Amino acid sequence: MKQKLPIYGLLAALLLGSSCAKLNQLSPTSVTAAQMFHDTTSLNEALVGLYATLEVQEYYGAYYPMLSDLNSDNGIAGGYNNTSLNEFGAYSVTSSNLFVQNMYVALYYTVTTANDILVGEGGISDTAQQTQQLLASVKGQALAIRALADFDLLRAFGYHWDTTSIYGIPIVTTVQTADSVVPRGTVAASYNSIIADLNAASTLLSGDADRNPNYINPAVINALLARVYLYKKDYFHAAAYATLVINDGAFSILDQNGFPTIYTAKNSKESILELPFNQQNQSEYNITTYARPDAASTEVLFIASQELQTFFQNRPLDLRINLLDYSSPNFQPNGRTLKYSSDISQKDNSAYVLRISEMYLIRAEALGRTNGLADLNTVMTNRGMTALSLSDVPDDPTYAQAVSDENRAEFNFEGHRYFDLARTGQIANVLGVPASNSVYPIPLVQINATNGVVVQNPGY
Amino acid sequence: MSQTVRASYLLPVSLLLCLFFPLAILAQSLVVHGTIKDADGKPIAGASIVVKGSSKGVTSASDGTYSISIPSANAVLEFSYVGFSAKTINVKGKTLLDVSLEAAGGQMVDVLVVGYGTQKKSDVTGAISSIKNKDFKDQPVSNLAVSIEGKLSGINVTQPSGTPGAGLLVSIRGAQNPLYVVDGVPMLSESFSSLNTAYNLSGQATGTGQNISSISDINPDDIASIEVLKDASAAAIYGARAANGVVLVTTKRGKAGKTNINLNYYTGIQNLEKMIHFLNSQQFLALTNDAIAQDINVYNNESKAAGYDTSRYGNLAVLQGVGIVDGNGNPIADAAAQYYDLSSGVNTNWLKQVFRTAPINNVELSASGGNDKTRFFVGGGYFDQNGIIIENYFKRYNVRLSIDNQATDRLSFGTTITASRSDNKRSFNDNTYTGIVTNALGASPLMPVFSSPGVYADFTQYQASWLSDNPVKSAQQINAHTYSDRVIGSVYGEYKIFSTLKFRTSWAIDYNDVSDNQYFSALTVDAQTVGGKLLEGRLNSFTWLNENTLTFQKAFGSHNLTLLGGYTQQSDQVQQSALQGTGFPQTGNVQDISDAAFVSRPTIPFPVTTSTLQSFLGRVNYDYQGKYLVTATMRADGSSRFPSNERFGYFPSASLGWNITKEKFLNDNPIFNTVKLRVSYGLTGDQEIPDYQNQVYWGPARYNGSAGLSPLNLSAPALSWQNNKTFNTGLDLDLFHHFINGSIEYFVSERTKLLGQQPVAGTTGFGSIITNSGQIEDKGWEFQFATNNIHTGHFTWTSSFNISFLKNRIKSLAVDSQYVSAYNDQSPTNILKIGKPVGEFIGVRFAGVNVQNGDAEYYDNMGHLERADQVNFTRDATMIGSPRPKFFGGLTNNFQYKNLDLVIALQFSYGNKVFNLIRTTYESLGWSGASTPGSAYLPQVYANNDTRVEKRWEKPGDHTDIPRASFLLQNYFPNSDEFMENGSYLKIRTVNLGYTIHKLKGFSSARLYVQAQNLLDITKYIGFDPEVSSTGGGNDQTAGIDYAAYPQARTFTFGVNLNF
Repeated sequence: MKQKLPIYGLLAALLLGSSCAKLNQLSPTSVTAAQMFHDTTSLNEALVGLYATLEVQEYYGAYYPMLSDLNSDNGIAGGYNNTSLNEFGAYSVTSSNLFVQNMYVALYYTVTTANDILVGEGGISDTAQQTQQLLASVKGQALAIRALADFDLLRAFGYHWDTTSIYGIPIVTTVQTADSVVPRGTVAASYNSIIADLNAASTLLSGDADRNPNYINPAVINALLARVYLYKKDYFHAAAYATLVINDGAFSILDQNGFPTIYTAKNSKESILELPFNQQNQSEYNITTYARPDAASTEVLFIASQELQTFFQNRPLDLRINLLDYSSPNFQPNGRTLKYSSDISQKDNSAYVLRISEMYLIRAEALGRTNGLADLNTVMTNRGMTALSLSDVPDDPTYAQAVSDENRAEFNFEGHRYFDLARTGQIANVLGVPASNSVYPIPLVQINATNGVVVQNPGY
Repeated sequence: MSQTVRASYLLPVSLLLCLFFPLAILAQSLVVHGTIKDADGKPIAGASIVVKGSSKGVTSASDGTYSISIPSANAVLEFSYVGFSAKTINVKGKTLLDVSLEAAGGQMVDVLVVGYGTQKKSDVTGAISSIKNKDFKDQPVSNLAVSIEGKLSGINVTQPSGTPGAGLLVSIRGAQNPLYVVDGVPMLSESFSSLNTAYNLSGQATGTGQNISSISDINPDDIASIEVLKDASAAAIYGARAANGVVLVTTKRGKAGKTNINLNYYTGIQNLEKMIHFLNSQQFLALTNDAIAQDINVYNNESKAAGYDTSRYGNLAVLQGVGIVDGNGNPIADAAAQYYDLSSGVNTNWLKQVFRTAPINNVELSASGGNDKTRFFVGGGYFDQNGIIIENYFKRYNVRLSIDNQATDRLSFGTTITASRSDNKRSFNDNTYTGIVTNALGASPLMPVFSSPGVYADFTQYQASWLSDNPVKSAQQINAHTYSDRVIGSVYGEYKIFSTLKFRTSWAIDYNDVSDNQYFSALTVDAQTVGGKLLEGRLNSFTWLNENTLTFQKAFGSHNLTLLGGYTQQSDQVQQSALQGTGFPQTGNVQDISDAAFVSRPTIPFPVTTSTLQSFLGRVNYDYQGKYLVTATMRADGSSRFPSNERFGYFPSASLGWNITKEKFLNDNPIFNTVKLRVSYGLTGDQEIPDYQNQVYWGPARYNGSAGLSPLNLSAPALSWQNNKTFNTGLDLDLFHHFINGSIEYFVSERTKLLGQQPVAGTTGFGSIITNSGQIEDKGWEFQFATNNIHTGHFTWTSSFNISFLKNRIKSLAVDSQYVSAYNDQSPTNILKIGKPVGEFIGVRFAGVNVQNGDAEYYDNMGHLERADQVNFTRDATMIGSPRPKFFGGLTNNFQYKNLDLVIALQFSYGNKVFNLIRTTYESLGWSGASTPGSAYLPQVYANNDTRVEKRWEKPGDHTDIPRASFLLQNYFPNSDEFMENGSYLKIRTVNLGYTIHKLKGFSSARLYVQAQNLLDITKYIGFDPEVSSTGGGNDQTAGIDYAAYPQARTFTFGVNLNF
């Protein structure tokens, strides 16, 4: 009996031990989906998360707007002979391009997060008025952000200039699981969904008087509607919504002395929607366009082209040339934009998503030569140039060219150029590549992952 | 301990007595003397010799000799020693009686460590490869897996990088990342360094980069044997984690007998195995001049042919804009030369600036011994390797203790504790922009290291735009350390409940604390704008493991039965954190995070994780007369990583063996000493996925100073165990009077429900999920043989040879034709395609150089020829080759002449391709580096080139593989098989020449040796070494890519091994 004691000890140890290793393990540092959307606290936090999805590197963290400039006559590919980047530099992106592949997923991540919130908040049943107001506000913001992402998807991957086209984007409005597959909608359906979201958001947020450009508010929604209608070539609505924003009173165009502060001060009067970054949450604008004063050309991904300098040399009074630097021998004959050069150590440059100047130029374009020239002149004169008279722009094509040039001068390296060329049918003319390159290819991995349910754009 | 010491004094004294008084002893009675040796012929000290039927006995001396007086000429002597089978011998009038004792349960060669036990080799029915310390000792390496490189069939070990402490690509029968089990404790083996050494200029990690292995925490000197369990029959007892094979490491333990004190020391030097030769300053300028002249030529020819002003570069204005022709289209003399100041006399050989001859030192001191109750081993070691790249080193300190005690006839217990600390001063290399090798390959020879004393030359002011920094500056101004502290300890108790039934329980912990410190001084490009940058990472892991087994063993006549049953549980906890500091005082070079002007904390998705495993296991071994063998195993594993309905996985296996030579018709056959046929089939599993993938989580997200949450993952439907079904058949042979022995194996293994990233529709917001999908088949033949070629009195020559022919094929995938990029910002390099091996390279096919105009030509998707600037990668890329060898293996020859011994170990690999992506930089043929012809900039070209480009196309009629130089456009396409090379090699891996001195004053034996590691590499590969994989150790999807890998060193060492 005495000899058997050790074995009992060992058996006891074994039994004690067996209660230790639990097979049900939950992350102690993250939140399970089941814990979300039981109260307004988690709803508010999910909304913060939704804004954060806009700031990832592939989206407004820098790449989405910067790649648009690179894929146009504004940009030259830097970096270390990076094949994927060079494809943008040559305006001929292929479907295995890594940047496009990541961009597609990043934009849908915003859509997915918005959908999670929109569906999730249906589970909050508190009828208190305060709660209901909050629910309406969150819903409005989520719808507007979903519309922003959907529109950015449409102008990158869809035939946004042709409302009769079948090449719209997959419109996702429900919570997705791993095996969910959504086919592409038509361009008309894509626009309908975007505009419906924005209209619903507008109603939900109508009482909001705040104009903080870091958050969705009625002015942001109107500005986005103006842009969407312009792309859709619904000039009446484009002008109407642009007017709403211009007359809002919260924004004003900065004059020829003040406009550089758009890029140095935060939340200037020009900004309608500006995504803020800070040291903890840095953006990539500085590092990808400027890096440091004596950077090598390989250090910078998005180089300003010699053509852009030539463009400004033909606009002698235009002060916006000062936002470009062609003096560094490491980049010659090309140069760098200086829009993001100020925050070398902080790297917290904002993303300028919607500015009041764009509203003037949208209205200038929408109203046409006779009625729109005043708006075009508003922008030009505030940038050091002299106002144009109707005789300077004798016909519609010259006027359209003037508006297009003004857009290029104002928004270079803010992600407009490629989309502007595409929507005005100038890709083949200006860039010398087939018109089918007016849109990026759907990433090959998406065609494969959906077994061809998501179809490729023509020409790729 | 004190008893043992006294005993060791007593032995020489008794020996002296024997020497001085032989006559007196003879006069008294008959005397028998002789030497007691083990099966290897080594003397056994302290063995007992007893006259049967009396209490009279002696013990053998330190050299194994004994002398005993016997009562009659027909006395019977009993020879015994702990751990060896006793022998009883009738003297039959002899006076000289040499005795050889066999280790209990067979000698080392005959006993294999298997999961949860040991087994006689003759009884083994699974596929197990085994290697003993004597076959890998003395190698100047930090990682045990290097020790088995080229030595075992079916196991392909690749050193992806020559960086000290590097992780290895260990592939067992085509599957990567085996489970390592050290003395019964499954050991975490992945890279624990929480920081990358591959960043792009935004400071983001660009790939897995340099991989260091936590297996380096184990001192290879401490290892007694390594067994690799290759088939399901052998490995299924480790069920859940055995799908990729199991490596069992057994460390040295004490043996009863005299205390043996062992000192092992080696010292040596290492240098670069192979130099790549670069153009000097004049040749560099000449290349650029040629490139410009050729471009003007091409323009003239194309304009002429077209009849108007046009060319692939554009019109004349483009060439004028760049400044290579004047307004009339005439070449501007010395257009580039003005920027290449040859008069400076600078002619830097950058490889010589960053590589060096570096010392390596290792010292290991141990004592082992014990008596029949208690055995011990204590040891400590210090390993100090300087890298062959300046500033780089790896140091490891380790101690180890093992004690085994036989408390009673029934109860025994013991412990093994190892502790180590390593300091890896990292060298930024292997797939990184700021890498030292990366930048040295291609730096301009006209650039000096220092532009004035103490001032690093500013790389942007010199000709090669490829550089991201001055390589010497990177080496000296990035101070990166990975410190690893590790304690592995285990205790066990064993109790014999009956003579046939044994209970064993063990408890083990594995604690690992890895901290990374990367300081980029304000002089580096990475941190210039922020005034110095420090990245700190910490990873802390703690594993505990409890295993309990019952073993029943009994012979029923000719039937032998062994039953094993067990219950085990394990828990792993990992904690990670990271900090980034920017802005440091420049005075005094302070580098602590607390000195930083600004500190931020990067987000980690799951910073704290716990995973658990509970398992039940069982095994039956049955044999009839050792002739017919049956083994069956079963393991049930429950893992916290899977959803509750899929939590348990069941892994059975069965195998049969037939020792044909034990049949009457082959009994005592002189040709067939052993012939054993084996066949097995079974299932193993894999659960190696990150924690918490079994449900949807929301993780931290920040916006405008507020904290929020956003979705972290997408949950996979029915996430479950990966399965590996293996069929194996083998033949063990021992032929011609033991002249040749070995085994032949054939296996087919099918990995199904593979765990990994599977692409999902991007409309879900995620690119991929971790789930089960796809099926991979591995099959192959393996041959492993050892021969005793010559065995005369003084001279022996033995050889061992192995060769493996393995085939790997993807049988199904959830999504076919998945492109994989070695670098997350570059074009795809590999593809996963059904019907093809994993990791097949993709690229555009190179058609050669046009003899007439020197254009590099490629095949488009229709098979037509096109120029580099006409290639459309997505359209034209196709599968171009495989990084997997057709066969690989090794040949080791051992020679012994008297006290002299010589080992020559060769290793070979045939048919594997290497994608030499870095060569696209240093064979850029004078290209400007600009992405459009018009933006070419005269003062700079992309990179300096190696001297191979001197054989390039220069004039019509030149037959060569190297295209025409071109300044304005790349006359080569990087992602093409122009840069995929034959990676076959034959290496003289090890040459070791030793001399042993016996019975020297002060110690019992001493061996002196000289050793050469990586002596010779016979290969056609153009880069440093075809044995390379720049994307690190664990990934076979992007294996075989050379992107400025840290090259392997050739090492010469001198060593001494003293036994006291």
